[in-house]
Amino acid sequence: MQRRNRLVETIFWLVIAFLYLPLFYVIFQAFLVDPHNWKSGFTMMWIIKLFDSPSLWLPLGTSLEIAVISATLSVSLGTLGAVGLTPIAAMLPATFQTLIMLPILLPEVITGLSLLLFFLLLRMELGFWTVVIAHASFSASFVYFIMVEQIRKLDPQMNEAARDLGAKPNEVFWKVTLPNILPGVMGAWLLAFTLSFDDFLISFFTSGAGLTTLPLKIYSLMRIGVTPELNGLSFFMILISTFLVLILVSKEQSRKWVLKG
Amino acid sequence: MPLELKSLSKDFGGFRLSPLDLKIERGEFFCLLGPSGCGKTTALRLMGGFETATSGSLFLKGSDITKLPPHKRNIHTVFQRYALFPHLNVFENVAFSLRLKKRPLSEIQERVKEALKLVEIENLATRKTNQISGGQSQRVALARAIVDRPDVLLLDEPLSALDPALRTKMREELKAICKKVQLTFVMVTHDQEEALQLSDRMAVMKDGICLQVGTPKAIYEDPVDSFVARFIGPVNEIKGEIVEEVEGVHAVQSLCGTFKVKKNGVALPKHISLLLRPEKMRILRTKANVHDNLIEGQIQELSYLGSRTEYTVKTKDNAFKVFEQELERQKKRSLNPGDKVFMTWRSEDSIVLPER
Repeated sequence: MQRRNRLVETIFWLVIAFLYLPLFYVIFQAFLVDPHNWKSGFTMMWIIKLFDSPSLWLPLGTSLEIAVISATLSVSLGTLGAVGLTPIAAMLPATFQTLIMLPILLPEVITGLSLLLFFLLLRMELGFWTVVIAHASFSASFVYFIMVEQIRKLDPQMNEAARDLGAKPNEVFWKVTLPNILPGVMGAWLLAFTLSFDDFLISFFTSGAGLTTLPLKIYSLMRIGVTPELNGLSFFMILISTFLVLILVSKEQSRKWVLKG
Repeated sequence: MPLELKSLSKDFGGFRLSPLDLKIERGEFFCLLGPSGCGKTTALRLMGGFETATSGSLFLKGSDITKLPPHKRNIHTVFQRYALFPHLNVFENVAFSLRLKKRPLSEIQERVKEALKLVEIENLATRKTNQISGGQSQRVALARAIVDRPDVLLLDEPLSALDPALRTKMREELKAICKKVQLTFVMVTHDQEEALQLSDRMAVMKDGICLQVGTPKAIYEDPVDSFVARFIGPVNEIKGEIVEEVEGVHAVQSLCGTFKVKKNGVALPKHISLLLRPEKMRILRTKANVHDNLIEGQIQELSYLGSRTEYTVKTKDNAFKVFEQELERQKKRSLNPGDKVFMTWRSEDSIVLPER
């Protein structure tokens, strides 16, 4: 028993190392005077320099704006879709579910290209809003599947109880369904935010000439070579992501704590 | 007349609730009793508005509500699994309908408090729904449904989710609470004891058809057919033929002998089933104190149940269940399997039905 535990423990730490070592290496590099020589000493120089380069701040702002708007859009769409379709899921043909899952399964290149062609067909000017729509449309599928799971977990009688006590259909949604799936909604929003924030391919196809998101900017800088500023930027992005994950986990933890009483 | 069903029916394709006519009186506790799949729950869901009727109509206080959605009916339901709102505490669960109606806060507080007091859980008002027991959840569900005084309260097997010991206790309390709130109740149950104890009147259903409507006593003592007779309580059956009638006393000839049956003013068919309730038969050690009818037999099995003892007595071609109250049994010699006994009953204590 003891030996078995040790084996499991070793594998656990190996997996953790595999997942996190590259991240820590990037953070480590961000503070090196010469990123390629770990004996060169530590500095805050690159981080400070980062704050002085508007060429990076502008794309970061754009990416955040797009991520917030598209996440909100896709969560609204996906949640409403799940709320509306879950009760009648049994009546829908199986192909319908597949259709919703398609954006997740399709290679992003195809999604990006088809969205581009679609926007061109509609004669829409490529830019901020086309990227927002593109991001919202593909993350809505993820949101839909997360929310379907959340809604399936709800007691269907609860819905009936609310109607029975005098709630109109929209009141059932706002006063009973939504409060009970709120943790899922927030989780889905964070996922949609992350999907949009680090998306490269779809942004690449749908952004047109004028708009640069952070991943696009990083890509264009990479063509010149990995600069120390990029390491600094990575450090900040890891910081933001960790922060978001911590919010999610702490919400889940506090909920569990309440459940235990 | 709070609730009236006029030929209300529902066709699900596979299952059909045949046109149902019921008049539920004001202040009455009405039970829909039957085995699972008899349509009782469908009938209740039609009343609540969760199913739409295939045909027929439903009247609440004289107005047609057949096509109204649940939230427009002044009818509330206590659900089988309570269906409390997990995101709200006990107080807010009970206050739900009042908040929807945007009542003033002082009124909400007063009425919720009153409802919680009625079901004796005032002290739980601030608890979360996952911090209370099954019996307490049951009380919250009840308080939530009665707080704004609906015209009719529907109860969907309200006690079935509780464990047996608690169920008996809650049954008594439910009866007391219903007396106090003076609403009109319709309850669905498959438990005949529950129906007998709680209802003023009940409907016995089977395969989507309502077989009989009446008071518990009428249904127990005067069932319309052998299904109703058996469903409401244990019964022994003797098949026979009426051979003679003198002033309302019929002589019934059967394989185990000839018996007297007293039925006044009712025309009986020739071939009948004689149904005897186990508690209306007495078991005798000797042939003394005999009533109108007597059968001889041998004890096959007996179960001591504390308040009574249940015997299975074998006769020539039949087996009878007979109950003996403890007070009666104590006075007499104990019986063992194999003992020879006599069973006796009065001629007016049997149920007569046409033979199936």
